[in-house]
Amino acid sequence: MAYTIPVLAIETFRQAFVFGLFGKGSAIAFLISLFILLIAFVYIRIIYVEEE
Amino acid sequence: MTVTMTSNARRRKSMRKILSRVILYALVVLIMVWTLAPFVWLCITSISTQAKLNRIPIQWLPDPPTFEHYAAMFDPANPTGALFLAALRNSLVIAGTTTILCLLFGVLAAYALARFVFPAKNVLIMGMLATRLLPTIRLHVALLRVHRGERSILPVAGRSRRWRLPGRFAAGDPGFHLPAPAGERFDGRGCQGVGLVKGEVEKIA
Repeated sequence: MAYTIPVLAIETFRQAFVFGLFGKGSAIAFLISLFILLIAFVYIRIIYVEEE
Repeated sequence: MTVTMTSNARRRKSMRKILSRVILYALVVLIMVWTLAPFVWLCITSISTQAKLNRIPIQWLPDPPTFEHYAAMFDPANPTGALFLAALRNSLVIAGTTTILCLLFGVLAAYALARFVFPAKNVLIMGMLATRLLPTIRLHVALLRVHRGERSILPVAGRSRRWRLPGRFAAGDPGFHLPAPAGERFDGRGCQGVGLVKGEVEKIA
């Protein structure tokens, strides 16, 4: 199978649904979720600063 | 008599208030479970071994939990880890570059649209807003056409009017294919989920 440019979303799909490795696929998906949660938290803290 | 009626009315009002509060909290809990359950299930799956994931009946809580999948993710010597780290780097580069470019051009365009007066300004604004109304799922039709190896992303009649896929995404390039065919390994095992989804997407296309 030709596959040249790995990105996280497609790698998650491949691990879980092409190779059938649901544990690894879930681990990648959970890491992505945590990463996005961290970015969202920082973003919200920066955007919603209470005015004094 | 009047005192009893007032007392009853007050009790009814209090009961109604409590009932509405209970319904509100029940709905909040329901929405939270609905939202968080997939993440909890994702976490449970990620700390279960492959053997336990395939076991029937399902083991809801892994005993003992394993972090071997996470360890493999960050081990460059492991093939999965090397692929994950490469994917992480690529995703960061693509997402970062896209964000910077969008911000750069978006801020300049927003300034021009807000401050300057020029012909067809409203048409341009409405056109840009209209693109936001298209559901993202419609992109899957174009992706499926790439997946099938078609040269055109739109079913437009006439060769000269076809929109061709640029560069590496063109079907003639053997270097680029989506991981295909989806669900191939599951058909023999009785897992039809991916095949069903693919069939639905094909129907839309």
